[in-house]
Amino acid sequence: MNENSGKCLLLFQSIHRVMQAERIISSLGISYQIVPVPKEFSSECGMCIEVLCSSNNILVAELQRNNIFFNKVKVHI
Amino acid sequence: MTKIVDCRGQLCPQPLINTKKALKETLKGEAIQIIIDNATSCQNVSRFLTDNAVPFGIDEQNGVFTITINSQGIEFNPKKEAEEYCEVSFPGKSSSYIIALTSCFMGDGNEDLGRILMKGFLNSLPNLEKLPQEIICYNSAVTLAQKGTDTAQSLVKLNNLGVNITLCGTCVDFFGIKEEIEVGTISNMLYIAERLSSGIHVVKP
Repeated sequence: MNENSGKCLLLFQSIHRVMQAERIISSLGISYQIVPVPKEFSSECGMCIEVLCSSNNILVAELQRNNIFFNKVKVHI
Repeated sequence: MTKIVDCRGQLCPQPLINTKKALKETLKGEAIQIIIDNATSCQNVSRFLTDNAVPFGIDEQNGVFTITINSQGIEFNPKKEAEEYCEVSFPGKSSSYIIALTSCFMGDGNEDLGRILMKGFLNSLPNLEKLPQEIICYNSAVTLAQKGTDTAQSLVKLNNLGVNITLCGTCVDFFGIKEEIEVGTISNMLYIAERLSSGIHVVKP
């Protein structure tokens, strides 16, 4: 499985960052879901954003341009 | 001597109440036989006894269950009310509680935060061990079921897992979104009042 297939979780430092990121992702027309951070991951915020890994390139550039930093975790089903 | 508690024809929570009463009244050395004619009530009584460390055996014949208990002869103080073990049978992971969504936000205070919390809440539900029987939406919560929203997709997913989605008809009308509803059954206040007052657990996030 290549790294652009399946779903990825974007973990942020705070809920404010999640909210900013959601607005950006939504404006880009990228499909996403707000989901709770799985128990196995550590995050300072309880919410994260699930996206298709294939949408990462556009997303990363746009989030970085807005100084929003995140950790990306691939979801294994 | 065996005390017979005949619960045939009774629906939950009555067999649980009768079992608790018998355990409190029976003397040391006496046996109790609880006779139940539906599997769900039998499971509920079994869970009640197991949780309270009461040894018992079950015999089943032609759909009639006989639960035999040898009384411990000590004062019986259940950890939880017997009625709390009353779960009705539903397919899948459903359980006996309803979620009432009273607005499109989760909690009071900041609306942007409340909106994102609600999305997280709805997307958490499919991961729960026990799903709600039903989600009832009223006031601005009906907009969560509006076509084109990510919350509607979350509700569709829950609906596909067997969770009934009920929308307040007056509220759908108020927000003018009747033609834009993606998921859910439009219902009236009488139904909502009946469901919320039925004695089932109601969770309001």
